[in-house]
Amino acid sequence: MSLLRSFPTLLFALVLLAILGLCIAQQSLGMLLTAGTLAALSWVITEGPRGRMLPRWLSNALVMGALVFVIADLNQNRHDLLSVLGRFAILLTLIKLYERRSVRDHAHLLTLSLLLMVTGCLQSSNLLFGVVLLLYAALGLHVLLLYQLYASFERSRQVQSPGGVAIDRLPASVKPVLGRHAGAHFRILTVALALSGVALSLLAFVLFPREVGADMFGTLRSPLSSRTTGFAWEIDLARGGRINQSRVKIATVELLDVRGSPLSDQGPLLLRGDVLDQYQGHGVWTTAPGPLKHIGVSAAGFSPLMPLVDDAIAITQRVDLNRSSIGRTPLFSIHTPVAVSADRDLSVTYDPAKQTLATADQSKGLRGYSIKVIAEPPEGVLSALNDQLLTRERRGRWYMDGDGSVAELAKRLLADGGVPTTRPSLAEARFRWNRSAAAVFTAFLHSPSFTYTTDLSAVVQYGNSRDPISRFLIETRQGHCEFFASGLVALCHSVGIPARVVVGYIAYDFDDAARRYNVHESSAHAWAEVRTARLRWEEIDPTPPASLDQFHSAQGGLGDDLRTAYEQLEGNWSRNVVEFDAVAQNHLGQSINDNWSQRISSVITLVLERMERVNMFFNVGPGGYIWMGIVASALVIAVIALITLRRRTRAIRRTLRLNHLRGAEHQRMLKHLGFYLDMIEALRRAGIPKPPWQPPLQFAASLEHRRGDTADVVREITTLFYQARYGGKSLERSDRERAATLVQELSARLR
Amino acid sequence: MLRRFEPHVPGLVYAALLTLVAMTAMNNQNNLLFWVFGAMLAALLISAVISTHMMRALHIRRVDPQHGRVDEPMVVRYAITNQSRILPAFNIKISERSGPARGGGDLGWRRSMAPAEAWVMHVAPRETLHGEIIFQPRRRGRVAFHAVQASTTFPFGLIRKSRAVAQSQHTLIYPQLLTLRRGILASASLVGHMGSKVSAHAGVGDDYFGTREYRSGDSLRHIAWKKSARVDDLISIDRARPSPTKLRIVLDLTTPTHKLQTDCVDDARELEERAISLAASLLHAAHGEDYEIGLSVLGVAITPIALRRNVWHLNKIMAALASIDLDGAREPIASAPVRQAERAGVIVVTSDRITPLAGHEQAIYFSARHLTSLLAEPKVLDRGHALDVHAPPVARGKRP
Repeated sequence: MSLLRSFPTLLFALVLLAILGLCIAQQSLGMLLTAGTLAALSWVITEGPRGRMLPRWLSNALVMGALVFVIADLNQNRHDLLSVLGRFAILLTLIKLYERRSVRDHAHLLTLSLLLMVTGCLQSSNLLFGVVLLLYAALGLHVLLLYQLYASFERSRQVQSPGGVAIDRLPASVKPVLGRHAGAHFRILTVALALSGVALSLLAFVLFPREVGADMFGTLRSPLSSRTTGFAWEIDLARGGRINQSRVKIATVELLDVRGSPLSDQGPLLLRGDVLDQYQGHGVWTTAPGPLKHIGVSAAGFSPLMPLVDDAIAITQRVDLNRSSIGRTPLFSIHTPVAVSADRDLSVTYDPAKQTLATADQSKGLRGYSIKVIAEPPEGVLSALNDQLLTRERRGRWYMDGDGSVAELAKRLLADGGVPTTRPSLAEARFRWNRSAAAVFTAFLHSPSFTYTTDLSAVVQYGNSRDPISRFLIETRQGHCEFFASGLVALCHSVGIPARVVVGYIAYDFDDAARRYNVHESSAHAWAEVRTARLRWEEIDPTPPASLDQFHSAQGGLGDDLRTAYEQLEGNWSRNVVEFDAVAQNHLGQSINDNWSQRISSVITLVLERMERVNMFFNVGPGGYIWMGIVASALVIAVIALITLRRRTRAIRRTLRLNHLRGAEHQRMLKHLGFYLDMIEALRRAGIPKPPWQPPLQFAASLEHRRGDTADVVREITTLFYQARYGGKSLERSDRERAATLVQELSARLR
Repeated sequence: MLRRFEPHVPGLVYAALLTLVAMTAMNNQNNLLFWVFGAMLAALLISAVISTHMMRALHIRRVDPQHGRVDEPMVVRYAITNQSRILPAFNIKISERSGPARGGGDLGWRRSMAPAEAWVMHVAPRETLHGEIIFQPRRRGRVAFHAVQASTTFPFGLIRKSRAVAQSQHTLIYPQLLTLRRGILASASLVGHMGSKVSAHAGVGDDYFGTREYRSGDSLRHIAWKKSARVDDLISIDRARPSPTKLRIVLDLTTPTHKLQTDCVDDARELEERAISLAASLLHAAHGEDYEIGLSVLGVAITPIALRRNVWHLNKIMAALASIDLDGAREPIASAPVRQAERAGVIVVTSDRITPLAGHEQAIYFSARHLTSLLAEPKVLDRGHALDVHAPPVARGKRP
């Protein structure tokens, strides 16, 4: 009974957990405090010594009130439907907690808690929510199993009470019928179900096809969904929420001079991944498509990208990845890459205009690469790229200032900075002007009026039609590196200066002992490049340096260690669960396939070798394999037959109670009395089991009333059994055949 | 034996939720929702597998049911054995499957009782437990049980798996017992003689039985002084054991149902049932007063039951009343319903009009129409019928 008594408490705990999960997903501490307090109070009020519950009419009125509130909420937050739904679900749950608890109300609470968690899943994927989800799943399983028992018990009490008395007025004397160790069995079964459920759900999670049916009903993603730091091929400034830092180390970078000696700390390194030179509007930067060169790279040596470069002036950048790459991966490099090699043969795409490298789509398993880079490419090299650079400039789409506010701001800044607001016509003057203007804009972005932050949940307004970059520069002045880089490029574009956004990593962490840089996921960065010469792009990082220092440098101590550990966990959670996509699925499938194919083929090879050896030993020739197959099949059949015979012997001994017999008598009984066991089995399958306490003749007599059509056959079989078992008669072959026929006849009649 | 999966409303709701979660997961490409979908799908599969194995290992048997009585709870017990070695069984519901109702008074049990079920929360592996169904019979007669069904929705309540086992058994539902007004039997005893036979056993009554030697402890009042003087020894007088009151109930069902003077057939049948209930109530009350009781039923082929005084005899009488088939042909009164030599009080119970029996004009006659007035707590016996007539009982064979 203690099992059933624990149900209301566990259900309440489950509901509290669901409320906690949704509040974490919505990142709303206020809602957590309010809802949590009200929920806790409901237990005291309804389950206390003088339990009071909301009358039905009042709870209905409250539900109507909640509905009105939701409609008003929806009007204000049209773009955040999920948050509105979550708040409505919490209101309903709270109202339900104050109502009278019948069996149906418990089912409603279970369903509402599930709704809360599903809504939370749609809004958040951070580690903390994941932990709550796992706890909810474990507790929810236990509560759901208990609910089955609790609901059935309440129904049986209601049925057994005369006159249909209400459940809460039933006497407690009606107790459930339960066997030995009910509690222990229930707990063991719960654990077994949980483990098998986890295994099956994991299988479904891994095997469920990704990218099938995406957005088939439109986009229903929460703008509050959090992201984890890391490289991305495009920038979307309209996605707000919070960016979680992940200090998972993804690579190490080593710089070698021309003699091959590792260089010392060079300061923060900007590792270029891709150049985003096309503005799609609404804060989205992408890369403009263009002609790419496909280069085959091998581990044997460096593959040149520019034939005119003298190796003597290039330094080597060695990158070792902590995790092998899947799919298209950028090859990060500082400066201009002039040659590349990798730890395995692969195909690489090279964009001469952007000076960026990436592996081809089908590449996988890359663990490291080396790139020769030069800080200042010779003029001859740049000239060779001239046509492509200019062509790409025409293709890129610049920032468009819809209301002119950014252009106005740019001109005002130039005026305040003493830089002419009009662009000079001569090329050299124009490039100098570009440099000066970019410096003014950078100083503006470095000013204290701008704040660096990774949490935009309070800043980003959804439904605001203003361009995010314009809003950043004019109104909010809060954002992360992508906003700062986009702001600088937008200011430059508004006055006609060629500029582009670059995404990659900034390596801050230099390991003095190993003389290499450690690159973390949190080191993902965005900066700008401004054209300051005919064929030259100057790197400018508009993110305030103090903020970068604070964000990337480790503070040391226990707090930092704990934070690092948590971020590592969150990174693993994010990478292995939240971001498990079609590419990762294919990769996993491929690796499993490869592993299993290897193992199976090695086993087959081993077996074939052994068979060949045996065949050679006996010198039978090709027919030897057939003989081996026959022998193997015969062995398998013999094993199966032995097992079957053993099981039957044990069943006969147990059913006919022959355990006390020994020797020849025992063997005779086993051999002759099997037909009686067959009769018992046939009757049992037909729903007429023989009770162990009932003598065979009495059982046969009882069938006169239950199954009169089989009574005569059963009586005859039983008579034979008695003759053999107790009469000492040795059954002849004809008797055994007769018994087998009777059993078959019985089975036919029972069908 | 029949095993099957049955559609279950929560399961259908769950399937709808599962589809919704799957579509949302696919639409949003949300990996957490994929996991939730996987967990829900796993729950469905596990539910089917567990419930199938659970039911396969269960063996159910109905223990011989006791007789019931109209409007009194009737307990039927079931033995449930879990033949599995490792898997316990949870949340087992046991119910009776309705079978075909045959003629000849053998009613399908549903005609006599509302469906009910037993619930067993847990049966450990290799364990046998007993569950009970409490029926509330509404109708007298012979009922037949055909098959027992066990079902479970464990573990998740998504699928209901059931298993039925054929096991035919019969039992009787005795007539309803009503609480009669105090003094009914006593007032009947004032009319005519009831049990005036002299007992053939010694006891502590008033009648002379014989004499014997004086024994220590005998009262002085019991000494036969004259005889003692003659034999010069103390002689005590033995008294006869008081003879128990004898009562025979004659249930007159000679008038066919359709000839009873009522508005509809249901009313007529109700009158006859009331007559049977009244007869049973009188016999039960008389047994409680230590009467020797006997029963004769006129119009139906039931052998008159002799006068006895014990519980088994009462049960025998109740069984006879329970097995009266009112749909059969009615027989005329062939012989005297009561032997004169029996020297017992006679109460005749009829359904409708009282027709005095030949040779028993001095008997007490009760009609079912006047049942309400005979009850200790008069109540409406059935819903809104015009059969409840509040008139005093008629005695001495007089017509109303």
